[in-house]
Amino acid sequence: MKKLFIVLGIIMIASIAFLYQGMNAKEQSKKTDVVLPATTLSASKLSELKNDYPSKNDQHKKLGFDCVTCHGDFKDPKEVLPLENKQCLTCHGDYKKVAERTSFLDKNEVNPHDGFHHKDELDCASCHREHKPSVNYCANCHDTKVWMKATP
Amino acid sequence: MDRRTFIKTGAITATAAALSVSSIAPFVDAEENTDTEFDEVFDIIVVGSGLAGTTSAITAAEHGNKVLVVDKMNILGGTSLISGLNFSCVGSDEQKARGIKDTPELMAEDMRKVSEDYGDPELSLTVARMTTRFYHFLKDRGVVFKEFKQLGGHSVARAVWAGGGAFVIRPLHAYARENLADRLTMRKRCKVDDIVFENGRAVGLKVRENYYFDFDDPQNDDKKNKTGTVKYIGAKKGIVFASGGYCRDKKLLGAEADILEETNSDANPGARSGTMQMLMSHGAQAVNLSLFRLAYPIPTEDLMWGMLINPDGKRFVNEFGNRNTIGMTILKEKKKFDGKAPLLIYDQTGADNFHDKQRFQLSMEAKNGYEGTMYKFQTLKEVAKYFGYDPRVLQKAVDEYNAALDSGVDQEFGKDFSQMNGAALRKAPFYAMRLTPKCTYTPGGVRITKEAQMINSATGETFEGLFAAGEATGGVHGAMRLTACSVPDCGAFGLISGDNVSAMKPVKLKMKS
Repeated sequence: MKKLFIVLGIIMIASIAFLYQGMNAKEQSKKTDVVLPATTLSASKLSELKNDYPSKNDQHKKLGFDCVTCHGDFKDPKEVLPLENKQCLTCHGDYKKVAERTSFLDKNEVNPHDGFHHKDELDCASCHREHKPSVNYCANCHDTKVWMKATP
Repeated sequence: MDRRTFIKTGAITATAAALSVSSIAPFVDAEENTDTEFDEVFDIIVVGSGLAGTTSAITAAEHGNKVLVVDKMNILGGTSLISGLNFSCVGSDEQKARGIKDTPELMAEDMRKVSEDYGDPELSLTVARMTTRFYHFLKDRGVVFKEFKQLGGHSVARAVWAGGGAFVIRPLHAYARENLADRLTMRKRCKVDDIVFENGRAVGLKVRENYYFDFDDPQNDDKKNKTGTVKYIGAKKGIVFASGGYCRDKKLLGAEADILEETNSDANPGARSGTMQMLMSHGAQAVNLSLFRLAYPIPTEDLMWGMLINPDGKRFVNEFGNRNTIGMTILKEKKKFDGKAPLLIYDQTGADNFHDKQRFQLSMEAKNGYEGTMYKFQTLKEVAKYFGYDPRVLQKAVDEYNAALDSGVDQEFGKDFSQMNGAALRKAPFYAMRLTPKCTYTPGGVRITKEAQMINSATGETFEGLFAAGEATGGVHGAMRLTACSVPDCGAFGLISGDNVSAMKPVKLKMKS
């Protein structure tokens, strides 16, 4: 029973921390100047692509991102690859900073950004997905519901 | 090769043609071509970045070769990175310090005891003989062993433990980055589609770079995933396949034994049979594919302290038995109840009796893999409520179990109650979990010689330029790989393949101009 309380406690702290971080992130995003890369794609083509590959990320949608914001310029959408970490980190700081945001999970060694198995080697896109619902990579092998909420 | 294996291999090879990404006909060298122009050329390519591949690659690079390691996954390290990696080792400093007498022959004998006479005894002995060298290989390259253990099935204490796979793979990869950067390249998201042969010798690979494993549809990844850009990479001396097992490949497991589809697995999500089937399409002999090794979040030998009941509250198995027998019985029971797993319950005395307290603790902290979490309860009523049992049904099961324990004889299932050391279902708190066996290791795979050369089933000869090591191979362990014997296997054939591919005479290869 004591264990259950501890687990519940962790979940509560996690939820509070997530809320807090969420509020923080909103404020930070206001301050971030996202410089949109120059593109050779026409505005109509961009909006067409946006319909074909819609974003599932409310925060990114609110900020009015289109394809080139994250992917950079391209000619053929088929050549576009999932983002590399450094592309995400252009706005999100460095990997350490991201890990700090979930450092309340360190104690149980399940910080997804600095975990027991993968340390800082996981790709952001392994969990956080733009065009499909996000997933929890840890759940490929673990009962993650005990540790954390859904992936933002 | 016996007839049964031949038929099995033939049948799977036929499917392989249908499944393989590049649709190669069986036994035909699809890329037979004397003048392939390669995008890149290395001395040696190693497929797979787990313990076997890493060992082979480091060994080959230390012999002075230019080596490329490719791995299809989004992260390097394979299943090794997420495994416990207990290492059975003959002649460790830990054994010497304790004056433990051990020999490779004794270790090989222990391995053969659980093999049910499947597999090749010569390969087990080769593994045991290489353990001392591998121990020093690891220690000299930054691996620190923290614990020394006596594990089940071993006639002497011989297992050393570094703290888990991360404490073995990370130091080795760091060592490679720091000391072999000029010779050893590791490339993730690089999937092997085919082998390039020239005059019967394997001289390169057709790969796809920027391969994104399909985590949304992993069962069909080998067949349907079209991501990546095709590239041809040459290997002047040869190729080592350390491409792992197929624990997550429910189609192949199910084809070998229907019931295995009910298993869980927390091996590397990429542990599937695509690469093996490609090898088979070129005639590589695969052996022992029907064999499987079942495991549990907690050690098999600690199941005995508890009681296992089905969703009806009935016992159905002797909890004190071998891993595969208990496992198969659970899987059949699970199937009877529409996939609902049985419940395992301990009392405090049972929990205190655990041989491996670390794994018990991991289960309590929900860190013991998929469906590997154990929960603690003050009363049996709480257990019943949490797991959806009628409290009276659970109480009855517990009472009957305790009464049987008191009588000293398990009339129903023949459990040896004399070994229980006080464990019953009396002393609160109680610990309980649903128990589904996991497929954690596949003993089958491509057949190799003790020199780690891959064998061609069509000719019975070895392939020139093709080697294999680790879980990708078959026949090293037989029916039930002894605990802590995968590390020495990866090590032995990693070292041997690294040495032997290095000794190959290089062929001249053409680069794309």
